[in-house]
Amino acid sequence: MKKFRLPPGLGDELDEQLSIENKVSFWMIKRLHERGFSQIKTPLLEYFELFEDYRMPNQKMYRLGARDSRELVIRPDMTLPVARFLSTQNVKLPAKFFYIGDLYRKNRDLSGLCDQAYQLGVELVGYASKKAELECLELLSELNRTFLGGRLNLELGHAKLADEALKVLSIDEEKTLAIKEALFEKKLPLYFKLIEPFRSNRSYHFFKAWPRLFGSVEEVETSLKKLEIPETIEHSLNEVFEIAKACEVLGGHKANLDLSAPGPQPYYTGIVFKGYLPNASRNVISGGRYDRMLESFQEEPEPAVGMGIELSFLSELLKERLPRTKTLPTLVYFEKEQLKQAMDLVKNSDSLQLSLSDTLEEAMAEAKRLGSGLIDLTKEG
Amino acid sequence: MLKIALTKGRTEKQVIPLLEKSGVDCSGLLNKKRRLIVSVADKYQFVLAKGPDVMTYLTNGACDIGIVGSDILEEQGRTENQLLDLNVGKCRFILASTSSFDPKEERRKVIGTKYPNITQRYFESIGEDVEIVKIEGSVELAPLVGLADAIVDLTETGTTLKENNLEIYAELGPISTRLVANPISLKQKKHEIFELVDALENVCGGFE
Repeated sequence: MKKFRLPPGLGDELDEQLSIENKVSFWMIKRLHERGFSQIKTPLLEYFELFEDYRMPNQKMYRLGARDSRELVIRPDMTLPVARFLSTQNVKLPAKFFYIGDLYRKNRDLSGLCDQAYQLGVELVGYASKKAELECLELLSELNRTFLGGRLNLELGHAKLADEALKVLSIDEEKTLAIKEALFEKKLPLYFKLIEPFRSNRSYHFFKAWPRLFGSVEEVETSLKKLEIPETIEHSLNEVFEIAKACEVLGGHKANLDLSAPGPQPYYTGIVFKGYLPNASRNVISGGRYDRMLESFQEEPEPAVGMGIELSFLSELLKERLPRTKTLPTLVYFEKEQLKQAMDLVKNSDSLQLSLSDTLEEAMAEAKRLGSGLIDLTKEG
Repeated sequence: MLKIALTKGRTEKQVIPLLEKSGVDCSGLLNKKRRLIVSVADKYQFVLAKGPDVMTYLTNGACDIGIVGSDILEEQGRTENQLLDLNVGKCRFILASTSSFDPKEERRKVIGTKYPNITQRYFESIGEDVEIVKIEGSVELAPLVGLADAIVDLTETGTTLKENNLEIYAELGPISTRLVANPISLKQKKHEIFELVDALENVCGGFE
């Protein structure tokens, strides 16, 4: 058997982690049903073209052979499959969906990073109101209180803020793109070089401070007061502060802000949010508003908000916080004709389990290995 | 405490004076002997690593900050989250070969390099398809012994090239040592990280 190995970047999950994963996902599913969300399950495989414009920095898709001469991929994301479903199945909107399942993103070989993720996500499609964002954030707040001990750091931004701010520089699309990329990827030496020619712009000090405009609401507010803010971002900025303040009211949860963060994908159009836990190396939650995503699927765009929660990564981080309390079972050894009697005993107890050993000696050895007690029905009989 | 993955060797030697000038007591680093992890003033923990491994430590969350050459960042395609150009370890990527090399010759050339991705991107940018041979060290040898038509490599002063009768045919771009951050560490330890960035910027003029 030793000749069969797993490909790099993949891993088996064991009971300890799965029990946490299940605990969180069962709770989420129950809460989502109670809130009127419908579950949707899309296939693991899709045509490559669905994800052609999907942004995956430092990652790649698992690409498979062709079917009907069109290339297949293992889904790296679940929002686009949901969009594909909505645009092809005449679903009546507005509607709230959730999904849960695996997705695969190929990391750099031998990097120690895991390519597979078990993700739960929600999509609120057809809702233009900010109440849709608030429903997502309220859910996260509840998740934070229930499982994360209030340790979730929630961070808000706006997908359009960068485009709007750069309008005041009156530069062409190519230069806008270059500055945005340097800002989003925090390539600061390059970013400062690119904004240097705009020293005389009245908002220059804002652009200079921009990469550091993240942190608590108060911290960002204090920094902004000292700067000449481009008038083009006022609306988006107000939206971010409005949602951040609403977050606090919702769950007593303080959100942080990042005014220099990009939207997770190019189709995001409004408030974006991310969540991470202390000492984690990456985000566990990502989402936001994408009112134009369905444009590439159908004639009419639909306002929408969605988010994904990486359950496998989250449960890995929760292992220490939610240690599994394992009660030692007591085994019941029985002869085959005593099956009903043994079953009656086991059914009425949380701590009894059938011993599947053929002989009493084997049953005793099994109990010793598990550190459990043993009831011998043959003796009693 | 900030965990800093510092490229050991030449980069380490060039960065320690900058750290000292910016007020970090580096005596522990200077007297580290064979230790690979050195704590400084309960504030920083330096992890001495090979250059190509620095970003692996960062990506996996084992370190908050990395100090590494931009040649490695570009070769690995991990150019994001660079907070500062430390302006040391300055050199440049060049295309070099013997005097008989004709860059315009119409045939598929063989290029020897330690940096296959950078080489690939450069030749793609000029619309040329080449065969790349990965070489781990003494790249200058490749055109001299006929293993490759030319090389893509780093040079600081050009002395080694001259001593081996090699000429520079193209400049591919400047290289220097960069300070890079893990994006989640940046969120969680913003003030400690920017305190170090600002202190270093004052002594190295990182944004010039």
